[in-house]
Amino acid sequence: MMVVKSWRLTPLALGAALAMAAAGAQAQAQSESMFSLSGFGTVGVVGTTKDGGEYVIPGQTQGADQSLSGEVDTKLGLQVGAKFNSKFSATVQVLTKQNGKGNWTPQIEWAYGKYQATPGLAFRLGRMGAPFFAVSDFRDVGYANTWLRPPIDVYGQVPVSHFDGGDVNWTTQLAGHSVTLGAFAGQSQSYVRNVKVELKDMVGLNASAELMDGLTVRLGHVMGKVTVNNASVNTLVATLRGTPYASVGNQLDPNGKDATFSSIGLTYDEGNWVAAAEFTKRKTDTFVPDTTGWYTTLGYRVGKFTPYATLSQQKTDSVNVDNTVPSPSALHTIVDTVANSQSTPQKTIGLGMRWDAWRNIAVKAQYDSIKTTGGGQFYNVQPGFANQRVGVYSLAVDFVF
Amino acid sequence: MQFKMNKILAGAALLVAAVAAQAQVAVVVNPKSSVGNMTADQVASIFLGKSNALPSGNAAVAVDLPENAAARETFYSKATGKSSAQVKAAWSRLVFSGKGTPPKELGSAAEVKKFVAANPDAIGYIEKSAVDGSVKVVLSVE
Repeated sequence: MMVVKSWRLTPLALGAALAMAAAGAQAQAQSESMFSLSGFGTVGVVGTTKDGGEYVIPGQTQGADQSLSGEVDTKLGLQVGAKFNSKFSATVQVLTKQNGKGNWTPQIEWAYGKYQATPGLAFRLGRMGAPFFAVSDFRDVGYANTWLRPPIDVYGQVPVSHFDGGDVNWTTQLAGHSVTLGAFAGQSQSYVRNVKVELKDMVGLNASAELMDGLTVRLGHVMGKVTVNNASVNTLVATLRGTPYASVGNQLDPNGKDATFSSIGLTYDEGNWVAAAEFTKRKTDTFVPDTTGWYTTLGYRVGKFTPYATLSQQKTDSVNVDNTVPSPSALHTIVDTVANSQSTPQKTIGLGMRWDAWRNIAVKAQYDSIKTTGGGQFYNVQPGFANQRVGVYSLAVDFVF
Repeated sequence: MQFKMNKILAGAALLVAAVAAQAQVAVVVNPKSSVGNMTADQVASIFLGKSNALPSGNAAVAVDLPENAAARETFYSKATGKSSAQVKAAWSRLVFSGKGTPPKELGSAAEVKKFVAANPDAIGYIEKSAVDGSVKVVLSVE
């Protein structure tokens, strides 16, 4: 049923893409136009070797098991840029993919104005990509990435892709190396598995430097106040506050709690080798666990083919709740269940191949062998699925125009 | 037998020479630009979107030849060391992170020359044989 639904959508998405491509070609013909149109998309299918849990990109509400799903990776994005003069420009990006509400309603991913003060200094205001990761901005642009999708063990930790606010980015040459420093502030609201998650008072810093030809290092740190609008957690917190275990309730409380995310990443792309690695840490003061996520990817180009391998892991460092409610009791069990509900540790070994089939089309196949602790990042986990090794095979066609 | 071999070698040499001649590409700027010679690295950073500044400090306005132009393939493989698919992927990373706009694509060497001659901060590349007084060569790649 899921498959049927997604395949109905795909021709529609492709039709729209073709129409937009034609419009883009026309826009390009009028070479003096201040508008530019570009787009990206993926048509992808995923299946797994085991029923009883669905493979999703964290945040989604439906995914793949032994019956294939086209709803995990398929997406279409359109971007319109307007350059008013050499300093002022504006960009709007609309993206349709399976969102955190489980539907395909197109969302305004970006809508910002940019002031390019000097060739190296730019200010932006509006809605823009939230730079939590090395490939945050183009995590949905399959064509831009070697992998079929960014490793979910790392990218699943923060299912927030954009924020509303402002940023400043400064690029300069330092001792012959290109260095970029960025700062941003704002807030964001998104749906994660039908639950509204808000980040307020968000402030972040980024720095990247090209150490040598093709080798770039990136550092990032974000802090803010997180609110998870989950009615049952709030009810549990209220209940606990009426018992001698109010402190347990305070630890679970998901309203306006401190959260941070720190990352260090390396990317290498020179000659035939491509490599990437990120090491990240999420910390919160609520029932969302502190986690460590990392991956390393290595690939080697052979003509139009790039075989690659990725190792990745998400670890739970702390569930952030010291359950002092006496056991055995129903309340103790409920607190444990909630505290562990967002803990999704797993390890993945991934092997894939990118084929640059056409000038703006890449075809990719990837096989991930995932070892979960509990249900890992699988969704709708049934009893008996826990602590398994599950194979996930994916095929995708990525395009840009 | 010996004679035959020589003929083949001479033919191969001619072929190599012809390919080399065809492969010569000149990177050109506006004749009034203060930019002198540029290194392949400087040119590559502009055409791969790593920097949008010319050595003069002004923002560069880069222009491309069509994707099927032989000079384009030569230019990118020699000046940047990247295949057209790699260049496309690099630009898609910039476009879809809002960090840049790829060089405007023009239809022919004549159009590139016309554009460069009319824009003080323009930079483009054309077959060396197409170079004339309307543009200034800052780098030759072959």
